[in-house]
Amino acid sequence: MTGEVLKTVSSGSAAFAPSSSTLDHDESLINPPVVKKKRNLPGNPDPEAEVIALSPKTLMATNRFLCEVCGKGFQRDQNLQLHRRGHNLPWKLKQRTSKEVRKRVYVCPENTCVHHDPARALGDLTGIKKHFCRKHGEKKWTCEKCAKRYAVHSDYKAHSKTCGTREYRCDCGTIFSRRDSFITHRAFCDALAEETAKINAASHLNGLSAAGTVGMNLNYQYLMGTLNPPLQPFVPQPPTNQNHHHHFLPPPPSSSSSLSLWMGQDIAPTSQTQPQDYEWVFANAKAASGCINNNNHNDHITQTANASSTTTATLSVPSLFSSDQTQSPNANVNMSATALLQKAAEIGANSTTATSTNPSAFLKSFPLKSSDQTTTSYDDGEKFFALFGSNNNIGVVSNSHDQETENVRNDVTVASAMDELQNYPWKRRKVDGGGEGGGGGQTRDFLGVGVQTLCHPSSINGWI
Amino acid sequence: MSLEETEPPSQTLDNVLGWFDDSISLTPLPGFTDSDLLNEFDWSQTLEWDHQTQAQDPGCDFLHSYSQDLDAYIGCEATDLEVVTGVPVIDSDPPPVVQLPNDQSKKRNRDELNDAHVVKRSARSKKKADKSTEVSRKDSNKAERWAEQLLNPCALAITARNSSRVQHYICVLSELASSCGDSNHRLASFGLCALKKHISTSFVPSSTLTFASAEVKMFQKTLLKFYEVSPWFALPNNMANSAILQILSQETRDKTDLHILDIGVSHGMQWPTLLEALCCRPEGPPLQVRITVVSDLTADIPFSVGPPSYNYASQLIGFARSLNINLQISVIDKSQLIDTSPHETFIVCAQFRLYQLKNSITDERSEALKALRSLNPKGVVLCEYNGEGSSSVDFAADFSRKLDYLWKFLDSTSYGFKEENSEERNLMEGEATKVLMSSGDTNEGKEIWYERMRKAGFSAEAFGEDAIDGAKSLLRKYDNNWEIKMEDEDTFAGLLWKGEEVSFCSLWK
Repeated sequence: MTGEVLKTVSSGSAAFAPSSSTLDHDESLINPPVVKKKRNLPGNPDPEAEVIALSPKTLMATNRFLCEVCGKGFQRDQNLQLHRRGHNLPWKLKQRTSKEVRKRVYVCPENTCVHHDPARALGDLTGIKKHFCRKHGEKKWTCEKCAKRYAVHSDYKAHSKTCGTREYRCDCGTIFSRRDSFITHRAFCDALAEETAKINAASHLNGLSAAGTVGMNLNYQYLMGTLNPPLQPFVPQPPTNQNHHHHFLPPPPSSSSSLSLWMGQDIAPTSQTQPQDYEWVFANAKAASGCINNNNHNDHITQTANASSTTTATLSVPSLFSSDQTQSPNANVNMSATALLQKAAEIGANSTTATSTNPSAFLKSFPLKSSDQTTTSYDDGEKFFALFGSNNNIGVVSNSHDQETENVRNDVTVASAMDELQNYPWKRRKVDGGGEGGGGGQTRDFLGVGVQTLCHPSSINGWI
Repeated sequence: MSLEETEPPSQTLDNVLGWFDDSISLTPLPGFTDSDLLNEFDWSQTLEWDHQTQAQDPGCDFLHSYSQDLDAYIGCEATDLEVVTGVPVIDSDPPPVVQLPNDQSKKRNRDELNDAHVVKRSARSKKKADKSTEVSRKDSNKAERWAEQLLNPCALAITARNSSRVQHYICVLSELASSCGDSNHRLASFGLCALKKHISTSFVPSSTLTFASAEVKMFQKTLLKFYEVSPWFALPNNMANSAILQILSQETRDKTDLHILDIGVSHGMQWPTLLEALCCRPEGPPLQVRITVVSDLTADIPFSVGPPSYNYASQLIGFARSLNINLQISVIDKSQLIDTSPHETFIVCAQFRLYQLKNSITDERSEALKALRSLNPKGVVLCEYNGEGSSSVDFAADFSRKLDYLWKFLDSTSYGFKEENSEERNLMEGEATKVLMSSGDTNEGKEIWYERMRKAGFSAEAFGEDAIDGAKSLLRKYDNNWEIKMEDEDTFAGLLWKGEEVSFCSLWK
């Protein structure tokens, strides 16, 4: 008996006395997640959609449906029909057609706009209206508190709810009501320095592997290119140190976690690694050694500068403070930290030997470098300019010249490498920016991940 | 005494009491050390001076000549007539003090002036109730600026070699000057110091508080605080940053880097907000951001030289790191090379430094601008002080202009700090005072700068909506005596304090 029952049940709703609706209902219970409607990212419409171009007037027309009796206007046909009932006029509510309605996407009527191109059309009528207003419209609403102006009323309302309520809190405990004061404070706050030091210390333990291959470099730059915008280190709620660490731990999607070129070119994981792991290693190892290297650089350079400074005062005279000692990962990727330091010392020494000039004349010479060296397409990149010629330090010119030339060549290399990848990072960035609601980073967490879900590595590869 | 005739005694008393009420809480009895110093002046060294008046008891003669001077001053400044005579009535602060000895007319000795002060102070508490508070303030700014009305005639007297007059003014100023009073008192104190230095090379001011002599942590704290309380630098920096972003947005995609030439006085304070804004761009920050700072440690213009061991670069780089921006900072001397590369957007940011250059026969300013032009920057942000436009070699006229500038600084800073006497305020003001002794001419107006820029081959560029809105909303966070005025089709942004021009920002290509 029970077996039968069980069987009946387990075989699903087919055994039930069915009306189709019940069947469906049950089926959906048993076969859960209905696939959610796939949402295209804004500005990347479904290629099969029907593209509609409305004129500005039509776009902004609010009441297109008019009642013939009293002339009242309505935004929707349904609303008009319901209104017509009141006049005892025949009315008919249009049903949603059963056949597949072709998806409609709209282009922006403004010629100069990115969304004017059908390939970048927006999928929603309300969306295109708001877009048109925001970007190309007159800003009619102003916030009283901060005088920010808005073209779209709902934007204005949303803003005025939060205006002035936002508080920024630094790690050191100080609270700010002004964003700019907060940012400036944070830049120089000791708490930030401590934070960096902690990260250094923590991740130093993870071990660093030496530099890689050209292929690796490409990936390196690629990742660089996929950096998400606002890394938002400013969390409005009270952050703890743990937050920072936490965010470094789970490998962030495609981007932000990481790393910029400056982070120790001498470290990198192997080229076989999954992007995720890749970033993980980057996030920790690079942070560590990168920071350490930089710190060392700075100290070393400081010492060099101090040691050899002559006429003018200490630190400020030709010293090079850099989060990136050299320009190119390609040429120097195999350089160890020591080698980099030595290089820095060279540069420091060379430039400090170029002393004694004319302290009296402020801009007597603002010399640039001559451009005869380079073989690449540009010819005006570096100039030599001297106001009162004879006084200039030719010595200086030639010394630094060598250094800079090398860098320049490296620059060129970097640039060309970047060109290849340019499309990808660029596109990706735009998309990400759009995807996250185009907001000013309000919903972002520490690493700017925001509400966007983690992308699978495969999706990253899909971009390649 | 003739002075008695100028006002009814009761009014005089009220004014004196009023003066006490306002200033006694702020200051210790002013200027006696200054007066002592006056005694120590060796007038014989400056042979041009008239010795006659030196040894005499300054009391009666002093008052006598002062009143004459005052009359003379009144006489030649006809338009300010009401203002000047109105001063004792209107403003609770100043010159009433000269009437103080009047009340004690028998006492001429300066020491007894002390007693007078003391006596008056005790009398004050009893008479407080009687003090009339119904003094209506005139709207004119000039009425409140009594320090200049003493300092300027004094400077004139110096150039006229009128020693007795000079001495008298110095005496009065010494009484009134105070380094911790309100802006007038402070201006009097700084101005007096500068005049003394001008007269006698052996004069050494008691304390010189400047950036270069400050301790590093204190310096940074001061800057941060100043940026919060006054838009003096914050606003030009903000506009410059907006302009940089504006220029960047017009660049083509192949320009991946940003290179800024920093000829400014922000000591790093300008950049954090720019870095953050670069991060917030939809396309993210440039691949590389370079800032080349032009340092000139020999400059004597205010704000340009910081403490020698102040290293803000490492902090900025650390900050950039936290934003994932590849930042490089190099500090160069004015004679060094500037290198640019083709895939970078090169922007020059010249703020409040170029005016140090001479604008006379050797037009260093124009030369400098031409030099900048040859670097082919994508954009130049020029911010300078906006004076009345005349320049002369005359000490008194020059001094007057510098006082005007310093007044605006002191007054606005006083509002910003809400008149509290803090270390930060003193450091900023001490540094600003360098203007009185500096070689820079703050007074060229915007027209002349614009002319120079055009001659050098630049063309003016309008600030975008974002830049202007940003500036206006920033200004709202400060005292409402500040305002910004856009002119010349938005290519000129003028910053004004109490309706008077302070500085301007402009954008060039």
